[in-house]
Order: sequence, then C-alpha cells, then structure tokens
Amino acid sequence: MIPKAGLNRVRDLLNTEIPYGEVGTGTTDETKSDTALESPITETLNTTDNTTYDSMLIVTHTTLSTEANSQDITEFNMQTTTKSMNRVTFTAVSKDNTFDLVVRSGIFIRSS
Amino acid sequence: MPDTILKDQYASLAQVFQFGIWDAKFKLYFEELPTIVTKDTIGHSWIVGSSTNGLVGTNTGTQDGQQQVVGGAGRTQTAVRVLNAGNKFREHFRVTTFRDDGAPNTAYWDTTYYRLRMSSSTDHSRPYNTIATFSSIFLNSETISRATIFARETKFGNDEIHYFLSADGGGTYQEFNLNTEGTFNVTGTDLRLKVIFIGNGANETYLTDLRVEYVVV
Repeated sequence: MIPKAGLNRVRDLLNTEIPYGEVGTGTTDETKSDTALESPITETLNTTDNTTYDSMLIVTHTTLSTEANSQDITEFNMQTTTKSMNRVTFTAVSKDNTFDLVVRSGIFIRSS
Repeated sequence: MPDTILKDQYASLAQVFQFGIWDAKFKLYFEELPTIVTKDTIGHSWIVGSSTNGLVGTNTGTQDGQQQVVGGAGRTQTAVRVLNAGNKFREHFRVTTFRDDGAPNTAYWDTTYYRLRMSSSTDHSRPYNTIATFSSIFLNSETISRATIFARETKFGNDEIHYFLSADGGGTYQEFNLNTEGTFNVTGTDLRLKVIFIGNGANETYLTDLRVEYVVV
C-alpha cells in the first residue's frame, strides 16, 4: 500500500505544481479534453493561497474587488504555469466592485 | 466535471512518475474536492491604489506599488455556488468548512482522526442526542430531485445514526436511509445535510467516508 507519507509526498508535489488560479466567462460544460478555460479573464490569473492537510490540498483563488467587474463569471480552474489542473463551470455570478470573488477548490489523494 | 478528467491530466506530471508509484501496481485516485464560490464583500474597507474603490493616490502610493486594503469592518462572506464533481459530495473531515456554525452542531467534527463523532466525550454512562448540521453542500441554481447518502458507520451498542437532507436550504428536512435513493418532497436548489446521533456511545460512535450523491433536473 502507499502510506500516508507517500500520499502526502504526492500532495506536496501537486502543491508546488498549482501556483495559479483563474476565472472566466465560458459556459460550455467541462470535458476530459479541456486544457484551459474556455474564455479566461486574464487579469484574474492570480497566485493561489494553498493549504495542505493529510492527503489533501486546498487551493484558494481570489478575484479582487477591482478585477473582472461587469463580467458574468461562469468558470474556474486551478493551474500550473501552462496546464489546467481542473475546470469547473457554474451558473453565472455577476461580478462588481463591492466584493472579492473567492473560489476554493482542491484535491484529495487516496490509494487502492 | 467528469471524475476521469483529473486522472488523465495529473498522470502527465513528471514528478509523479519520478516518485515511482505507477511501477508499484498501486492505484492512486485524485479526487476533486468541492468547489466553493463565495462573495467576500469589501464592507467599509479603504483601498489605496484602487482605480475603482476609494481611490487615494495611484498605485505608487503604497510601498510596493500594489493596491492595499485598509480596514475590514463590515466585511461579509456568502457562499453563492457549491459544486461537486459528478454530483457527488464527499466529506473527509480534515477541515470543518462545511460545518454550519450558525446552526446547532453538538456532534464532534474530529479533524485529528477524520471522523464525525457522536461526542468528544468518553463517558458512556449518560445518553447523548447530538447533531451535525452542514452548510450548503450543493448550490448552483439547479433543482435537486433525488439523493443517496453513503457512509461508513461505527456504532457503540445499540446507538442510532439518522440522516436528513434538505433541498431548499434547510427549510424542510427529510430523513433518508443510508445507501437508498430518496426523492425530495420539497425540491429546491440548496442541498443541506444533518446527521443525528442517539445513544450513549459518545466518541465510540462515529462515521467516516461520508458521501452524498444527488440528481439535478
């Protein structure tokens, strides 16, 4: 079996691999072949705040109150410098300058 | 998103191959955790260097040239979307993100041993009737019609664990039997969960590997 230390080693590798997050306005459902957001809002490509727990990595991305305003946010991904590590779509959230939009996602690792 | 998307993309990580796990014939599963989208209002914050919020000078007005938020009074945080890969919510009890601290929570979220326990107490001499109330576990303007709850239970004596789901944000809860799909009498777009423990097992009655699968229409 892969012990907890091994799972956490993989978690740490992923942690260093996912320094960024980004939101966008694409509305097409996510698929296995996705490599990026459908319609990224480039000003929201921000570094993420990552937190680790046993076998788990939590990634928090913030779109500041000053960013992406007047846009309907519908997609998010956490990503390496070049690759999308997930893509999530959701019903539109209309962004304005009265709030930060915070997206929290992550990865849980387990073995057979 | 499909569960399989992660496997294909993460398998390309050179570091994972270097770690050698694939040669050992063990499988690793990468599970996408729930995605929570929140609105964090800026309240009465005073943002220096912002072009749209309380402009005080240019960005060079701050030491590093970036915007700076001063003060945070009146800030509120509201979840507006909660998504789960494959419409499967999983709780691993590493953190208490989904514990609704504004609602009754007398059961013990054990983030050390990753369990939801009847109680933190070891005293079996008295009865317990405790509850765990979850915040939104799915919220996306889509109507939830049916759901199934799965969990691994450990019970002391004749203790009971009961599960309740609400599709309308906690307005109406309905009891669901473990491993059996149920249909909501009152539908809605905000899925909530309650777990009730009854008995005297204290910390020896608990559940792990909690999962809620749901169907949206």
